Amino acid sequence: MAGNLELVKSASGTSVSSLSVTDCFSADYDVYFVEVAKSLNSVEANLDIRFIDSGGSIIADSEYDYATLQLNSNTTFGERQSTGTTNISRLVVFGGDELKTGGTGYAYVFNPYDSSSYTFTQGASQSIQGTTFVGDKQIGIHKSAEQITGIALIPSGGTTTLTINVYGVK
Amino acid sequence: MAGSLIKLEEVTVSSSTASVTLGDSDWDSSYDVYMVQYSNVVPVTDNQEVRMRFTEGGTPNTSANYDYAYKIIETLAAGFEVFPATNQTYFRGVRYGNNTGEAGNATLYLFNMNSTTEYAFYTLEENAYINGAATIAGCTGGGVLTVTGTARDGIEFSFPSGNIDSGTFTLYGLKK
Repeated sequence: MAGNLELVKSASGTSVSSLSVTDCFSADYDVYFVEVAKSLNSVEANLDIRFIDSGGSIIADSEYDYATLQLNSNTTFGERQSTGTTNISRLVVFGGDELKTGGTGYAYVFNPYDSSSYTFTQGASQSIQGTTFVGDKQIGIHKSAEQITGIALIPSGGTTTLTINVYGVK
Repeated sequence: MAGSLIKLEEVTVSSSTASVTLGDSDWDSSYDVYMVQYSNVVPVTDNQEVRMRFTEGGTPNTSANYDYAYKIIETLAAGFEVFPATNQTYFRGVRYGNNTGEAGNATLYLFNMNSTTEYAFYTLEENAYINGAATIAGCTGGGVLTVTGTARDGIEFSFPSGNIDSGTFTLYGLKK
């Protein structure tokens, strides 16, 4: 009964304002692991999530909710939450060009291809803000029961250079 | 991370079931760390939290030796909640509903399960949609079963009232 993380699709971009991975979700898996090994932004900005519908369009409607817990190494933690937004915030927190470290992060995506259920995310990321370590825990939802076939990552400001790997959890 | 997860067992609930146990006869003690993932879990009875217990010889340990500490992150404007507890008879998450769109999903990591001399730890990352409160919410944190002497060989999931209506539960070993 051996199984694994199975690489489904990868995409890379250099100094892009959006990077999509199309047709990476299918009926083959219920759960996906989306990993960004490094995103290096032109300015300090988050890397946010939008999903792609079965027609290949990025969904930018106000159908997303999210909550994040920001864990700062030098101060108190921060709580962020929002409903009815146009994206799920922070697959990667910050990720500016300080120290050239960028940011790293992942998100599990639950049930994207099931047209009868909402799509959930759950993830964690980390980066350097100035000289301070910042971690982030994230949960999110796309609150529309429809078939999701892909994912787009969009910096909240500037451009980003990154590679996305999408794995199916078998 | 490719190639590091070995699936040991998967249980899909498609009709009302009192509990799900992962492990037992499918437990492989050759791993140091295990990952459990469940998705689309819905209770028969509204407003129920998933309760989780480690098993020993296939039987859940029901002693009052479960301690946990979570932060509940959620979209409610009231803010996130600190959620610690000691001497419980189970680990738990947030409460799930059974209305349209409601479901719970989570990723757990299990540590020291095969040791007879160390406590068994776990981490929980959870995400549930609660229609009545119009919020997504989930525990992030972990817990410990402060018992030694017997190796653990699985984990049981149930609700305090009513059965599990649906959901998929999967156990993986992390290849060394």
